[in-house]
Formats: sequence, C-alpha cells, structure tokens
Amino acid sequence: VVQQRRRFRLRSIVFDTIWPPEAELTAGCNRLWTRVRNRLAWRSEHVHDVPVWRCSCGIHATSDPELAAEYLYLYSEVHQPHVVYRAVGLVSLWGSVVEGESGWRASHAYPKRLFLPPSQRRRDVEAIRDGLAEYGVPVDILNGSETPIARAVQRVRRERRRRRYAATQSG
Amino acid sequence: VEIGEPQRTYTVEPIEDPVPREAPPPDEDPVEPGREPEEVPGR
Repeated sequence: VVQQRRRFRLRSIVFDTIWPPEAELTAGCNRLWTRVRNRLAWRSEHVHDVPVWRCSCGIHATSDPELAAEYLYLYSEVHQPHVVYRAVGLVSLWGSVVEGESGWRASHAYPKRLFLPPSQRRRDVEAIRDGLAEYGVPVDILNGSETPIARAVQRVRRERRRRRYAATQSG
Repeated sequence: VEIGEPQRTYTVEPIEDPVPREAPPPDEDPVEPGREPEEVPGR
C-alpha cells in the first residue's frame, strides 16, 4: 500500500505499477533483460502479448495462502518511499492466463477482497482500511485465525519472529 | 509470486464484470437551449 497525496493505493511489490481503483489492471512485460535485449526504453510499449509461456510476465497470483503471506515481507528491509503498509488478498484474474504448478499469471486483474495484517498502530491501519475502500471491495484487518489467509499470516509472522530471535542469539 | 513451471494456458471471459465500477449518472432530459430574445423593431 502506498500513499499518494492523501489517498491510499495498491502497488505492485516488484514494480511501481499502481492498481487503479474501479478499473482493471492490465499487465505489460517489464522484464529488464527483455528490454535490454530489444534495446527498448524502460517505459516504451510492451514487448509482447502478456502473459506468455516462456516469460515470467503477467499479474501473478498463488493458490497457496502461505506463499502469498510471505510476500507481505518481501523487500521489507529495503527503504521504499511512499510504502505505508502491506496488503494481501484474493484477486480476480481474466483474459489470457498461464497456469503454473502453484498459481497463475494473467493479463487482467482486479482485487476481490483485501486483508491487512494486524498492527499495534491500530488507528493507522484503520485509516488505510478506510482509504482502500475506494477499490469497492471488502477490506478487512486480519484478526485471529478463522480463515486460511489469517492462519497463513500468523504462521509467517511467527516464523519471522523465531528467525529474528535466533539471529540475535547467534550474533 | 513464484508460480512454478507453466502447465497450460487458456483464456478466461468473466461472466460478470469483476470491477465494481461506479454507476454512470442517470440520463438527464436534454435541456432546451435558452431562446434569444426576439428583436422588437423600435417605434
């Protein structure tokens, strides 16, 4: 989740692509090596139709809640301006789809439901939840372990705490 | 997200629009343009 002026928006974890509210996200191929090989400017037209079998492009989603929960912390050690929080969720995918062993890559997507991990900064998270309501889909702050995604986030957070603790003991 | 080795490709046409788009404003009756005041020949 990034903050743009006073609005909260969903952004790709890997690219600076913003998910627009009330409009589908359409994928383009942004792979650096593809652009270098074809001598294309970083922000020129797309290299090829998206997604294709031989590339890794497309909007990614996984069928494994635990794998999705891991992405709540991807690049969390890297300073990313405007990033105020992380969200995970269910997504509608359509158009061209490549199905993999544990998920999909698609040409079109829109969030179906969003979840925010709990935080001690409760009011901040509530403000983010309210701001993300512009997407017109349910936004929930995860609490407890009733759903598969809540349990997955709990497990991932517990494992991260355990690893951090182990690192302090070994250092 | 790492999705593993590709297994198959296909096209998905959603049955209903997955995007909750804001409803367009209702059509309004066309407004009749204001009439220019008729020139009255002076006396």
